[in-house]
Amino acid sequence: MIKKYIRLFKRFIVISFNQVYVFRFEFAMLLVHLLFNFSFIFIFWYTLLSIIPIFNGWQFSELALYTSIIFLGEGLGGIFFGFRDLPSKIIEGQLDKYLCRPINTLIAVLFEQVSIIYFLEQIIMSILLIILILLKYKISVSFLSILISLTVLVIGVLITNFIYGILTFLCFWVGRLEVVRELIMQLTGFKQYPLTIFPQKIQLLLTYVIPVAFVSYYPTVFLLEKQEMTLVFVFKLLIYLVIVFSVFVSVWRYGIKRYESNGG
Amino acid sequence: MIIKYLRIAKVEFEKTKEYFLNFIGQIIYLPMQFLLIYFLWKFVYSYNSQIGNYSFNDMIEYYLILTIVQSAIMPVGIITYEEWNDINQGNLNLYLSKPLFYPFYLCYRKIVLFLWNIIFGILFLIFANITILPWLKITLYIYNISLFILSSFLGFMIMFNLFFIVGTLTFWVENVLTLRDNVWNMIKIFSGEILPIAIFPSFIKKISVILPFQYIYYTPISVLQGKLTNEQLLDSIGFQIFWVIFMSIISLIMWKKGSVNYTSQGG
Repeated sequence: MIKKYIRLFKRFIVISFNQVYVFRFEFAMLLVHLLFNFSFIFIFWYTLLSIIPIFNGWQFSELALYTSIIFLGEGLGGIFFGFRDLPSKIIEGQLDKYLCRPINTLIAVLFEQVSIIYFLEQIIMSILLIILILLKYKISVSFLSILISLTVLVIGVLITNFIYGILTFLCFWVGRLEVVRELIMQLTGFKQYPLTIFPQKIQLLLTYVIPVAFVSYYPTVFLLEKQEMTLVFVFKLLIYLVIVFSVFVSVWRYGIKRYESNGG
Repeated sequence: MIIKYLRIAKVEFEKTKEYFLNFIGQIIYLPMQFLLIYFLWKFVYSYNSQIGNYSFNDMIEYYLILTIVQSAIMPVGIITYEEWNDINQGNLNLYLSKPLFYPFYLCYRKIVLFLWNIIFGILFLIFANITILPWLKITLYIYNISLFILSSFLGFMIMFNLFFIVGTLTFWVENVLTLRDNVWNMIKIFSGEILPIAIFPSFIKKISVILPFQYIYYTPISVLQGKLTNEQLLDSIGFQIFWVIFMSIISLIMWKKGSVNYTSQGG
């Protein structure tokens, strides 16, 4: 079973690579695109730190690291990119072609949509950038802090994308709801800035309701050892993951039963 | 000649229901965006009461006007995709066989959308100024609103030409969509979308001066905020006109050369 999915995943990587590589110009532009994505956030921080000397206890090097970790999380979350267009597929009855395939419908939908090469490039570049920042600014991190940071990041990516998935699956019942979904997910914009600049209530919202702090703030503070990892935190994180995953699976199962293949 | 374009405008106005929903959609997102901007800048201004020639209120006002200009100008970004699609799918045949000039047709349709969104944007600004954000004290006179619409329109034309040029490259390189995304990113940095150009470090300001991007958002916003002296205002609008003419010439030359090479695939 797992072998089958690994083989399938490899095929999707090959297809994704060919889709991009067939247009050489496009392939080169992808790399430039990634460089741009990184550069304008760095320019933002550079400018802001030229106005105020220190940003709530964060120096430029730490904020650069913070941004790179966000990009790494986005790269890892790329696998869930297919959620974006899923409402259209459900409403227009396009799920039929996935339902009649001998593989998990959700995996088929997600794998087909994702530009694996783009996200792989993003992951590799984020890791390189993190290493570069650590070396250039002589920031020392322990193996344990790397491990903790990476674990929190991966769990955070799963939690936020499961929430995004749950909101997406609601379209099985209510039809088009992209505006509401995007409205809620607008909160993810808050992850670009360290959690502590916001009022306490917003901090709680960003940690427990739309937990974007798990894909930005916490992985960075654990990596830089600005905050200690506690057992309570681990417990909360795991409980949160289990609850969100259970809801995610249940909503998908109930939702797919309601699918009526309009015009499919 | 005029009648057919009036008919196109009528068709576009028929679609205003959809535009209206889009506009409402953007308005719904506004409180969330503003919450983020408000907290960020409140924090930054707790260190400095003035950044460049921007007070805290000026900064919030800047992003509010930016949202309105974006809602009017941003839809033009789809031009590249439409052009890329028409060329690669062979749909261009349809337009070439009609008594229409394709580049003008594309531009004209988006002008209708621009006018719709900018008018609604200004009405929203007036409403916000009176009701929900009176503390911002945005100065709105017919004089600066008129100049703002003119400057926004010139910004719109610069943006149109940029994306039209990228779309026309499809004649030679087939896939231009990531190049388009890169143009988006350049606009993001140098147009004043992330931060007002005036507060950027000097090296970015120097680069912005020689590029057309700041005339897309930053200039119209500065016009409405009254940040420009009369001399600067004339210079800025003059530069906007220069870029529109210059880029229109490039667009037309490229279109002429590219459309000669066009071979219809699947059309």
